[in-house]
Amino acid sequence: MEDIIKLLLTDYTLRNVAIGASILGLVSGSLGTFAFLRKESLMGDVVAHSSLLGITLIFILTYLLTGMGLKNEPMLMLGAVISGIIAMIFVSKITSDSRIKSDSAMGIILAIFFGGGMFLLTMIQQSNIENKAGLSSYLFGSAATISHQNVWMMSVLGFIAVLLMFIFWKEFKVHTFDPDFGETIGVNRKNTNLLIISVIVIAIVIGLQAVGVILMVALIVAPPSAARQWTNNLKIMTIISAIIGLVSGLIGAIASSLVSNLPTGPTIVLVATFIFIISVLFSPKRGIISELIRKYKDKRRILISLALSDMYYLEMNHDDRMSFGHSSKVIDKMNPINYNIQKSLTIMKSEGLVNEVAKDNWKLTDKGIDRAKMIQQEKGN
Amino acid sequence: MNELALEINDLTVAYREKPVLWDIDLNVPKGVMMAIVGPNGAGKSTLIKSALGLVKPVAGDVKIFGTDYITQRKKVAYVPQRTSVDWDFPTTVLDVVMMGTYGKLGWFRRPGIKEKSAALDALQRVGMDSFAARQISELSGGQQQRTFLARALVQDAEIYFLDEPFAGVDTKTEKHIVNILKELKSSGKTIIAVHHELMTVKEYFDYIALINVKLVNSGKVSEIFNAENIKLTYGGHSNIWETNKF
Repeated sequence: MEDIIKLLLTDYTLRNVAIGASILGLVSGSLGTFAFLRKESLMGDVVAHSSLLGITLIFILTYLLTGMGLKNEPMLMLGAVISGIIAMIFVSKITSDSRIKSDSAMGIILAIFFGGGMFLLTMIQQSNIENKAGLSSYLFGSAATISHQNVWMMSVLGFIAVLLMFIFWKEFKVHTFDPDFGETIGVNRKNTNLLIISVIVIAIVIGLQAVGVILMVALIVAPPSAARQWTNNLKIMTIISAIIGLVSGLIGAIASSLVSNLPTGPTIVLVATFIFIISVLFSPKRGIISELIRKYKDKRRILISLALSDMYYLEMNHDDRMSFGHSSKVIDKMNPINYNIQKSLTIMKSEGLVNEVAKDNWKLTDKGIDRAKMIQQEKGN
Repeated sequence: MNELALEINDLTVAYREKPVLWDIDLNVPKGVMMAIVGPNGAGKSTLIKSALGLVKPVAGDVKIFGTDYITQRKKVAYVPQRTSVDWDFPTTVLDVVMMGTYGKLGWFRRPGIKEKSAALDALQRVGMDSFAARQISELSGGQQQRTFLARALVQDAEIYFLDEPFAGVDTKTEKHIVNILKELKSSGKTIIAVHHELMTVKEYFDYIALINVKLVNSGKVSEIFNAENIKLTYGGHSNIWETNKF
């Protein structure tokens, strides 16, 4: 542990990668919350893939103007932001002005922009433009190429995105929850939509260099999906999501520096998805396991209450409280509902509600009678 | 004549080629409680949405208290259909009701103590004060509707638009909501609600607009809510017409 901290403080590359990855996780985690709640998580995929076209176009444009290729310049990020936003505007337009649904619209736009980007990227790779090597790292991400300057750029952009979310918090919230109502109180649907899309695009573009266009969507989707499992409060959800993003970035960066040949981007994504899986399984209120336990308990309760009511009815009406009990067959006949009487009796015995006074001869205990009375009251008779 | 709360002139709305509302002229005097009644697909919700500027009309204009919606925004409250939002959104009843204060706060400013107490008051009026901290996904249909009504009450508006406020709520809640609306009316507010149940029109409302793409008739319930107009609106297929309650 001490070694890791020492390494973080002294190793220039690791420090840049760790800070960069943390920032990108933090920003994509917090803004991803809104993409998630708008049910537009896939939008992250469209934006990330589409940005490749902007990146390659800016690269070619500057080459044509200056005769040199750009390398890791803010200009490339700007290209990514612009093409990401344009792609999303196209998606919105197609969805609102044609009969094509948003999933198809997203698919079409992603294909066109990413296809275009790949086309240009291949052309650039086959040319002899200087600095062309840096470009292909945008596909799968290459954290090692993050420089001090990049970290600054990521911090500034990330700060702007999170600040905008903070300033327009109540507008983002009301627009995401109820856009029609928002519009009637002056939260303009079009402008707010554009603003939300823009900050999400910024969040995505920050991560492209480290994680790459293909995997970046995971950092928009996984942290908020995991965070939603743990809270019912939007503020807390955003904070948890940001922390999950940050932790994923940090762990991914450190792990990949400690283990040789471990790629940073995919490692970050795997950490985030691991946290997501844990959250989906183990969250106390929305988790799969607690849901299973709840269902099991419900079923058990129903099994018990059916048999208990029937036995109570039998014993009360036959006035044979003091004498022998009833066989499982008799109890079973009491009720047209088909359930496993043996199982009910076994469970009830283990909970001390019945006694088996003789072989297959069952009688309610005092505790069982109290419980049966409670059930009768709940039923209202 | 009284001051007009809502004035709709020559309003036509179309989705693609199909007209949803055709050349509607409708005047709503201030201080009345109007039901908008008509069969499914008659354009009732669209009429409310165009009055609020949520739907852009092909032709015609809408005036609220004599001017554009935008300038009168703070005098208008809107209760959308309960089912139009995702109730699994991570927030509480109080927080949803607080959204009613956002319009008057404007951009940048955050709700404070004053807004919170207004929201709690509104929750008390709808009988939901003990639910303030409740997660909205845990609400029943009637509670959802009352939460939305509380959000509109917080807006402290002059004119209230409600889209099917009684849809899927129990009778007790319906009566409760009606009483609140009648209180609003008696303090001079105007209420316009999309309504489905013809049986209760007379009991709840004093004005009515019967529409089926076109406006069939509008005016006082006592004057125009009759078998002939209902038949014109529903094309003779209304249950109430067949059961001969008129």
